[in-house]
Amino acid sequence: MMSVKLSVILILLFVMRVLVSSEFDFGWEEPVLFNNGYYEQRISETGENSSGVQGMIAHYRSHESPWRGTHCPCFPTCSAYMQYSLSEYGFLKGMLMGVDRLYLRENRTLLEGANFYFKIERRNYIDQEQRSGMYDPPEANNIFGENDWRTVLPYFYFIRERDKMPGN
Amino acid sequence: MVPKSDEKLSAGFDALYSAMLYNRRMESETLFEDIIGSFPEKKNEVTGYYLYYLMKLSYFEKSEELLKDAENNDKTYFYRSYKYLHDNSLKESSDNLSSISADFKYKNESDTLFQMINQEPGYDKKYKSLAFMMSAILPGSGQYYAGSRFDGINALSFNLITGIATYSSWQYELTKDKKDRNYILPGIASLSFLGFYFSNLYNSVNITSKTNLYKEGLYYQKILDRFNMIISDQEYFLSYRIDF
Repeated sequence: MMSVKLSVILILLFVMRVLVSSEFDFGWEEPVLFNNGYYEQRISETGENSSGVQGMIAHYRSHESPWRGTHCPCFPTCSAYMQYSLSEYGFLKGMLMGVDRLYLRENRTLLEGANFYFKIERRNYIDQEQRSGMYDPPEANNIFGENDWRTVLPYFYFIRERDKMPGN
Repeated sequence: MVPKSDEKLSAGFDALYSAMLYNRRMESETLFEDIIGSFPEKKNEVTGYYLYYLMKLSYFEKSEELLKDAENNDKTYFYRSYKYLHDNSLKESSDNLSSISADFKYKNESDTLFQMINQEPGYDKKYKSLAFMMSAILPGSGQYYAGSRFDGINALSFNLITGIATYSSWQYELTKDKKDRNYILPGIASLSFLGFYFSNLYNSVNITSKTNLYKEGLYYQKILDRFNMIISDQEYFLSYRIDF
């Protein structure tokens, strides 16, 4: 019975892999390294809430994530994404956006299924290793507001960050 | 010995060009301000060169004030159009392109860019409401319609698993006697099913709007690249001459 379940799961994974590989490939890679800087700054500007869900996420980010050894494949990382959306869009919208990200997008890269998104290079803040990830900012995922085509292009994030760097 | 005025000017230009050549932006800015301060009559000329540098490397924020004050010529219109497109102000961008005179060196290219900005980006637009309704009837179908097959199957499988768990747990509890019933497991299963169902609805609308944004964004990114290509094409840094 166990082997039947296992084979069903394996077949499902295989089918999903094939379907994902036939998706629209944006195929654009940005050689610049991305980090959570902008979102960290915005979170601190809006006032970090140390109670409730935001407090739990803050605790996870400062105390647990560094010891876990796993790495979020997205940019910004899922915890930064959720903290930012909670502080920026409020509890209900923020939770919806966070759940949407965690359950329906984070696992994409397990199947190398990031075709549907722009691939970027980002540096992990624990071991400083460079990995490829997918570009998925919170601004592009807010369905309640009017979104701009510029939010989905990594180029605009890069320009904004570069202009703020010291010496620029 | 104090250098003569002409020598000082040419030394200033040399220093500015070399700073621009090696992409030292802070140094270029200081030199630019120095030259303007010492030789106010050369302001238009130096501003033109400095704007060329800022535009070539897409320093849009830095160029904002300079572009406002710059004298109105074909180059300035072209730069302004590039900046406005970057700010998603399509109307201003096309207005500036249309002000370019017929004897501009890149008139053909600027006309093509004008047409590209004014026409609708050609892509098959997906409808949010249709995706929402499809996902409400069968979870995952809206995402599949929008083009994201992975999200579709992901949403369908999460909803199927939690739906079956909810159904079977309620069925199991309701077959028991009333006093033996325990509603904790069916409650948790129902809550998780509802959570996945609503996030599936959110995701269907989100993925549809994002698909449209991606296609639109790729279209405008191409135009921006084309602008940058025309600007960057004509550079003679080594011979200290910028012929644009």
